[in-house]
Amino acid sequence: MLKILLSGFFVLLVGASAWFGLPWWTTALVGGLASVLFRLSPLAGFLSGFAAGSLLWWGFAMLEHVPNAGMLATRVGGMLKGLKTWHLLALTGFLGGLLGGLGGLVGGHARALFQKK
Amino acid sequence: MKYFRLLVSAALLASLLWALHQPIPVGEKKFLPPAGHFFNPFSGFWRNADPVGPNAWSGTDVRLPGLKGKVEVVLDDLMVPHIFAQTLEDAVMVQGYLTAKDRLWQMDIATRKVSGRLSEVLGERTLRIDSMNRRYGLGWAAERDLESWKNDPTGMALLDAYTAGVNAHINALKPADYPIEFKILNYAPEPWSPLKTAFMVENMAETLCKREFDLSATQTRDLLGQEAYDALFPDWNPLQQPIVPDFGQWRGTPTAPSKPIPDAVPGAVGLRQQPRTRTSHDEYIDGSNNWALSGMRTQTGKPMLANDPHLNLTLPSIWYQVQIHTPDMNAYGVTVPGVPGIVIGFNEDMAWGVTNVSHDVADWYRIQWTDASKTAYRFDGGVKQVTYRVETIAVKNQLPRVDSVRYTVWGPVVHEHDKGHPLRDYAYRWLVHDPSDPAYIKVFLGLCAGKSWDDYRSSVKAYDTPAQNFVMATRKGNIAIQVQGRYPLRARHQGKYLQDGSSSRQAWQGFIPQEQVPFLKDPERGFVYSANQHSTPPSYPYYYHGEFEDFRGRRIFDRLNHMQGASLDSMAAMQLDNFSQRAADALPAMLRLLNTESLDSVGRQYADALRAWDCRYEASFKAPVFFELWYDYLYDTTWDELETNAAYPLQTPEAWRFIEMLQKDTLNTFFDHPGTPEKETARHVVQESFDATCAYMLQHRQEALSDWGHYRPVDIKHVGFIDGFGRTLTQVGGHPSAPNAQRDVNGPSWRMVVSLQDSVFARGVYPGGQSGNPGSPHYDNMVDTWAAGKYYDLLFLKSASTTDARVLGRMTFEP
Repeated sequence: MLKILLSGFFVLLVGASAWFGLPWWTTALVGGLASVLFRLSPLAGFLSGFAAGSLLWWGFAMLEHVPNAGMLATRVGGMLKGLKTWHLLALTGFLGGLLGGLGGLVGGHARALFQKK
Repeated sequence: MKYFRLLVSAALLASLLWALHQPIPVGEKKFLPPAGHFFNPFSGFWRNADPVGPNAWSGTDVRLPGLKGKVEVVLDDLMVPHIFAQTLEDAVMVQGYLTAKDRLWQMDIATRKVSGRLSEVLGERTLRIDSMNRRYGLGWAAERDLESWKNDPTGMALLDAYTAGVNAHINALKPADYPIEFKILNYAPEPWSPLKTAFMVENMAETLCKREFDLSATQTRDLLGQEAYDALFPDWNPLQQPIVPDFGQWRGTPTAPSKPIPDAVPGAVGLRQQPRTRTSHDEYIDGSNNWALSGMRTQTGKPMLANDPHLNLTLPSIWYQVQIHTPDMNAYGVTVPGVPGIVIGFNEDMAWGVTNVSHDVADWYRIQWTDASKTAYRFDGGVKQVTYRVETIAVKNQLPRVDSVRYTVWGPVVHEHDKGHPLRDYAYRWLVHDPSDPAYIKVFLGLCAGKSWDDYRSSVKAYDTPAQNFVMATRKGNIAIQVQGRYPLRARHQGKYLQDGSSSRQAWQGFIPQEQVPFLKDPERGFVYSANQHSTPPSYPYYYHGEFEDFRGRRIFDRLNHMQGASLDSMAAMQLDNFSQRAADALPAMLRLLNTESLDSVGRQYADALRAWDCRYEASFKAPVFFELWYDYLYDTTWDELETNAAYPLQTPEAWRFIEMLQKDTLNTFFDHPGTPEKETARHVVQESFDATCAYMLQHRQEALSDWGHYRPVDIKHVGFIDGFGRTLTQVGGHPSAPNAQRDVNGPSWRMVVSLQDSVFARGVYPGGQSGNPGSPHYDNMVDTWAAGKYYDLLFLKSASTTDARVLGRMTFEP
């Protein structure tokens, strides 16, 4: 459990580097790396990666969204046929989760290859 | 097994990455951006959310190589930049930088539109627009303008400085900082150039002086015969007050063209596909008001000036406010993003504004090809070769399209569609194609620094196209208006109809000399004004025709003529005046012809409501809804002969001429329905259209008919028509025939009133915000103020070290 938590923190912290100009798919890379480093099973890697990835994306979106009083998200929602701002936030979190999670899954499977019986 | 699992999960991840990297198709040929790019909070759309409250730019220092000295910028509570520079070049460089910061995508898309490069980023769906703008030669015109501007080194230095400022901003952008529209459309900004400023000028020209109805006029004349045509489409509306009256100033002026006027081309035009050409019924054109009062009519004893250009209302707005301060000038006003300086504004000594001059400066010439290859055409008894301008239109995700446009002595052959005449086409002679004055770019900067009538006169003389009525007022007490532009020298009625392109005798015979351009200075009546009406009375020695406004100007004249002790409030009240002279002329005539005895109780109620109506198009009124429906129905049934008989568009008379018939000529045969045995008169069609309107109102009892504001909502669309980025307002009054010339998508795009008192004071508002970013609190913050008919006091600063409470931020630019 501790491993999963630590791995999640790793994804959050290192994944945040995308803020400084690294590409958006860094989240998947970091998710995979975390599974290997923290020796997670594929399932644990997925769960930890998903949770951290969605928190990461949702959190950074919130950092923009809240000081903006939701003005931009309301307009973008209007562009996307009336989506509500929480839809956009949830979608953003979900996409981050998928990236982190699948990254973690791949990482978990990769680590399994080298695992001693 | 382990490998298999790894492989499967890796494949899953790869598919996800691929999917998030693909544009998402929505609807025909439309795409949403790749989800990964767009939704990620690190560089996607979330990054465009600006904090609400004090803006994030305050205290920013920018290094701007090329500056000669330090430039300080003060940002006020409306995010208007006040630029304090030591030289004009430095000031416009920073203006370029700041304009790009706020309006980069708007600048990009406008130049793409004019130069026919939309399809490069939007794909096949804009191919037709690109193709037509190229065929009309807008890019060619811009290139020729720029070549001319290069002959003026000081002007070019300013343009280069502006360009450098825009590009300094673009170069500093990371993908995360791109305006949201770039992210939505998934492309990157490209560098600005002086040519793009020329495109912006052509963009205004395209909006303001691509107005002619040569082809529909030709067809209508051919159908009716010259005499009947002239009766329906007279050159001059006797009720109109021209901008510049005759006070003897033209006596002794040699009348221009002496060459005989060649006959216009006879025979129907028969175009399969009509070139964009207006008929008179489409009278709701872009227009504007401006006026200046001398001190004898104002509270302060000093002149006042007002201007409200009526243009398409968009978000971001067409206008951008700025103050420019240098040791030689201190001016405030609005400009078009992409154009340095201030187009409409004021300084400590002078204010100026513009309205469009509605002269027709575009003619169609029929080209007679020698053979089907269309490489040569008949000209002056011989044969002339065409030249080609190869237009290559890049199309997103497709191969580029190549179009070789034929150019004749007249200009480009825009359309190649003459039905039944494979060897005939039409070439476009458009004033906008002629290179503009080398000093063009300095016109508005000259006005910024102007202090007097002489400064004004020498500044505006380099201004040629699109022609504008430049109004001015000075603190010293002068007021003036000049119908400034370059105008073709025509024989009487030349260019009203399609012309024969095989003879040089059909050409324009030069241009009206600059010293004969009409102007009016310090008239005894104490005011000058324009509302797109006729420039001059028929006694002006040069012939011109065009599309002139008939109602707003009369109302403005009446009000100004009675104005005493005017204040900025009375000027604002005039800009917001919803009284329609058109309704005031038409309604009594229509009611007089209406037999109320035969009406049922509902009909009588409507008639009573109309009788009680004061001809104001207030948003909360219901009467204008009924009147508008009734008038349109009446108009359409009267001119059914011209609207349904022809396979190609015909002209229908102007509203004033139609109203004149309702007043004085009720037996005119056009009131008769051609298909019926009875001989209908105005009385019949008035009754018939009134009954039809009552029936319509009964059938449609929905909200849309409840009042004028809901019937004619004002739709301020995003420049790129992105849903959710625009605003729709249902509480805005006004009508194109009222001073507050509001229609659905077009209206007062900037309202400015200036008092040239000892310390100049001005108010202004436009329906938008300084920022073009939909994620900024300054994107549409002025819309509600504008809709409510309110203004902002414009913060006119004397020094950068001001401690005014409205100052929210500061920026410093250093080389």
